[in-house]
Amino acid sequence: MSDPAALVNGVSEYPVRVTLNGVVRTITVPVERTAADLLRDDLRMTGTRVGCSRGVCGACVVLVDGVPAAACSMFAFQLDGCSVQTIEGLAQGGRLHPVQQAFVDQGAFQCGYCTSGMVLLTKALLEHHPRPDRATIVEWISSNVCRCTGYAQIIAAVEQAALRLAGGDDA
Amino acid sequence: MTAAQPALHVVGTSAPRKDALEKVTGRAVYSTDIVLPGMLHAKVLRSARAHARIVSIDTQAARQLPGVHAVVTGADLPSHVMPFYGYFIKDQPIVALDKVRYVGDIVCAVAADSEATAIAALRLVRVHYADLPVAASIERALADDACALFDEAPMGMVPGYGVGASAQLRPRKNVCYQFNYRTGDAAAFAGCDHVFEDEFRFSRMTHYHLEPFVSVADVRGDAIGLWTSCQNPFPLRKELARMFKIPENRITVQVPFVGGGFGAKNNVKTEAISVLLSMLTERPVRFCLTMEEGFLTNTQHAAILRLKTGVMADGRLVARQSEILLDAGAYSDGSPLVAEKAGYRIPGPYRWEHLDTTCQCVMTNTAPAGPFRGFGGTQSSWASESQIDMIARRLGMEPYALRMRNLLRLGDAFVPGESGIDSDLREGLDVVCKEIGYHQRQYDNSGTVRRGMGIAIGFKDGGGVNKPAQARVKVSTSGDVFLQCGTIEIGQGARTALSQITAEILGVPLDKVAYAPINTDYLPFDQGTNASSGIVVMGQAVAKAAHGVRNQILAFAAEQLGVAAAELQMGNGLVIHAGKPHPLAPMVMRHYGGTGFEFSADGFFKAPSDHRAPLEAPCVFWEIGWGAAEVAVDTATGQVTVLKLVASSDAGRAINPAMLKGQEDGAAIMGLAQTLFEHMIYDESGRLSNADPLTYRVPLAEDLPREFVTITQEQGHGPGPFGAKGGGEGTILPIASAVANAIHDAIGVRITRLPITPVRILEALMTNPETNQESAP
Amino acid sequence: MEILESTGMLPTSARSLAPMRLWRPANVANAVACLARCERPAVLAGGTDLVAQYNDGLMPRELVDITRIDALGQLRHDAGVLHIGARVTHSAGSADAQVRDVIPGFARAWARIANPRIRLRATLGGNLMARRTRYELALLLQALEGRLKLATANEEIQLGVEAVWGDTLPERALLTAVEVDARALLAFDYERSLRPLMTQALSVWRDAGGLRLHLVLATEYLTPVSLQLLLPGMAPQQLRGRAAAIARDLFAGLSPSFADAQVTVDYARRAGAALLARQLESLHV
Repeated sequence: MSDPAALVNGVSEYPVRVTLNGVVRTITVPVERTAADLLRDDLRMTGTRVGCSRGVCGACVVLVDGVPAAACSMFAFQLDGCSVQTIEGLAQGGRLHPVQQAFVDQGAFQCGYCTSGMVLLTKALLEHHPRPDRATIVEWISSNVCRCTGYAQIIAAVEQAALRLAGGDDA
Repeated sequence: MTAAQPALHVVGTSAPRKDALEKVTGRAVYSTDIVLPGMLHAKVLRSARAHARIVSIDTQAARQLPGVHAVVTGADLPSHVMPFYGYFIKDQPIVALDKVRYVGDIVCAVAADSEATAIAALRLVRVHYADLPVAASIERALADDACALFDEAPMGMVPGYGVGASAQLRPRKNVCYQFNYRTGDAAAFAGCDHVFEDEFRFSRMTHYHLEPFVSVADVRGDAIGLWTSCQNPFPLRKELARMFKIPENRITVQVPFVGGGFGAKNNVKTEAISVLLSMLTERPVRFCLTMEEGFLTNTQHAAILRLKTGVMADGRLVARQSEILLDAGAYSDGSPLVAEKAGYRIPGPYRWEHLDTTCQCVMTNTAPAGPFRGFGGTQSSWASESQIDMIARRLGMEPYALRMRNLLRLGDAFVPGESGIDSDLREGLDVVCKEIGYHQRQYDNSGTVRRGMGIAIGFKDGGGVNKPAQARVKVSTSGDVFLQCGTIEIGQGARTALSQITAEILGVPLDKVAYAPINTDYLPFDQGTNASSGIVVMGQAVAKAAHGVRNQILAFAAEQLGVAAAELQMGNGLVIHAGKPHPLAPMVMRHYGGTGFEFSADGFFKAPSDHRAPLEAPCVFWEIGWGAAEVAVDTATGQVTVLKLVASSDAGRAINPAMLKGQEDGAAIMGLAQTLFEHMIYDESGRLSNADPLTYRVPLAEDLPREFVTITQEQGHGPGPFGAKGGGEGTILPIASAVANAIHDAIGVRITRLPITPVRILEALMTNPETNQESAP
Repeated sequence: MEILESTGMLPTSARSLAPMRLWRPANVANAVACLARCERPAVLAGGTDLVAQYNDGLMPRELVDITRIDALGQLRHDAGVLHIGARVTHSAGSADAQVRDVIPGFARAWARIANPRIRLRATLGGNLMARRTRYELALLLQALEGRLKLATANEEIQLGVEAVWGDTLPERALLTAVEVDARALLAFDYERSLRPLMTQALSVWRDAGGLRLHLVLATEYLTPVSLQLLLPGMAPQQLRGRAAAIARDLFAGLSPSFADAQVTVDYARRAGAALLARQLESLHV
């Protein structure tokens, strides 16, 4: 049954070495384990929220090598060798990341369930487009669902964060 | 109420939310995060048939699967357990007993070591059904030959009503409840110059809260510990006590943050099953639904509304007879209450001589409908504000003028026996008209794309019915404040706003106030987080408690200082006498000793009962949502573009303007989505076509109108603390009719059913001879 | 939900997956051999649709991870023929200079499907093989008369893109690429302003001294339908002036059975023709 040319050969478990919020973690996972369950259940990072479990709502978005990805849509083994940032990894030494601060300042959340995903999505957006126009912001934020806010305050938060990260001092 | 108020320091500021740090760092805990040692996982098998008798269920193989700890069908329910739950009518079983009544009805529940094992076990269950005729729509369910969903009457009650209102259980087959309201004399129709009869159809949405329905039950002996995403833990506790015959003081319900509710998370949802399975397995049990299951658990009410409205030629509204049919789904859930409100609110904010309303809850083989933001006010505003516009056009009047002529005045009783309207309705209408430029609208509509504007006033009685609220405020020696009340933080900002009220009264910074975790053992009773009642009902209880504890502190300090309490002020852990600050702590230590002390006071609020009020207690506040829309309609494709949407509510006095704006935004966008596209698509066989998050379209950022403005008015007439009124639902109410009115303004075509899709617009354009387009399509 | 014959529905998800085995073949031949051997394999690339399939009841026994097969990620242009590897992501493919040069309308359309988050991970192959009428690449590529290239145990086969909707796809075949022969293509435009209700992709081809229009019309629930119209002797510049009539003619061929829960055939004809006329009027040829 074994095929010498195959890189991985019918394994049922996988040793994952992932840099999670800057810290290397190693854990062996069953192949069918999702990244969301690895983060939430195995590594107790419950800030990653699971909503629709099928990649539509984006509540579970984390950054995998800087790319926003729905953790429910990835297998845990796919995180091997990757650098993953969850919401818990944003604030540094008790100081909120400018995106987090902008969300607080603009009241860009209510029930908070979509917030982790939205904040990380925003961070990725601003890394791709440091000076996004409104159309780009709207297009990116349309990747995730928020049922509470009606999005206007989220868009304002993204605009504020863009200014802060670009070094502007406007409120 | 509009007397000059002292300057406010905390109330009225857009203070950062008290839960901001937790939510933005991911530290916030939701019920989905609760893990207990030894916890098992529950999953259920659901009917794929809309209506069928259960002939047999074989669970042998399921029980034997390793890792399975319990399997429950209707036949396995312990005999002492009362299997039915509901609001007024206890008709929904924990698991199906003799029949299934909708696609999604629960047939079997399993608790196992993992979700995968539970699902694998359910795969081994064998069920034999005998199909029954399906009635998946209101019309089908009311047909003479319709199959009854319930052969026998479930246990039900009709509450007491005041003057003019009444209700019946099971007035006819497949109607579980009927609410009636009558005032004035039907002879009023005879004197009318015109009588207009129109029918409107309202669609059905699902709440789509991102956090699923979830509960973790830990039953030990005769005690139940429960963590659940629930908006009304105290009534839930009462229901579970009744069902499982366990005293209420042996049931503890805890509610962490709730990831969205919008009305769905009331009373029993996942809790009866998680409690039952925990009881049987003697282990904690987690029961968490997928979003697909959530769609099948609770929905908004679709409705048919038939309005017969009598008017005079000069535009005076005289009489309205309304027949409202709500699609209640397969189990009654909150439908009787929604029927009360849809029926009660159908007159809108206008003056009438005669009203005659019936509202029926029609049982259909679809998912149970229950409380949904707007709660009957969405349905009634859709119909009433559409018809008002239609009547104006038919009379040759401007829609604005017809409204202005008939709107109730500040202080006018809504109906005889009711409290007076606490917003200036005309002032509010002018706010949105001004913002959108309604009176200046002028379009060259000779091309394919035509523009128009519409206005509407959404209306509901807010604050709940006969609703009691209790709160407790404690202050420690160091001036730390504990706010203890049962209002649930579901995103609306209750924790923050109620803390602001407390902080203002006690003269402390907001961060001195801690909002207690929700635990039914320690908190005073609350009926539930609903009806936009947080600020006005619980807020008044909180204010009383805060004033009470403030008075206690001042009385204590007065005695300590040997002065009159009236000479003292309070602020920041200090008591101030004649400008001189006296720290509280040393006074307490001197008197009570080194271990300190806590001052504590309770507050209670309920609108006084009054049989003259149709709903047995006058309405606490009136929740108004003024809306205006400007649309562009592409007459070649029927596509509607909302150029500008304006939504406004009157907060009386906004406790936290930024937080309130968020609620107004969210409600308006929810209303816009319902207007244009969001709806559950049921077919005649009772199957849901768009039963998953991919095909059920909710609004995204790209669905925002080009210009979207929400305006919080502070007219200052509110009965709540500091002149506040409630909020959170007002701006969902007027959107659909404002847009429909704008479309009519643009293309002369009236759409009376939701959603207003391009297909319906084009169909209407084709069949309306006045507006049928020339030449090639 | 997974629907079980006669007993009911189960709320399946990734959390209810039975244990699986993982294979990660190094090349196409190994991948195909792997698929042939497996009991119930699922192919993993971006994985963005796979997770949805678990919620629909899919329970693979094996995962065949193709993310390390370089050949599947290639995108090249050979003298008017665009060759797009199955593993090319939407964001990479739509931004690729070759795609933008050869079929700018397709690059623009491709850059708009789904959302930015999905586009960064999801692949051309995944979008096609999901076979969801709500997804857009199948209809875009059908209008471009693209060819699926599939590797099976014995051979490489080519099928029209519309084969994803039928049952002619061989079992255990691996989609390796899609080819679009753009040599005779004059213009391509995608109209999605009515999405998700209805969208339409239009391609205009040079055809024996005249033109050939190929429109693919799709709704959220219906599989895409192709409508074609030959315009002998017509020059591209003439399309604009005759747009309304051409649109009417082309839509006259729409089957009366084209209807779903939200769209009627009448609507499709009227609105579709109106949109097509606009497309023709604004085409860059």
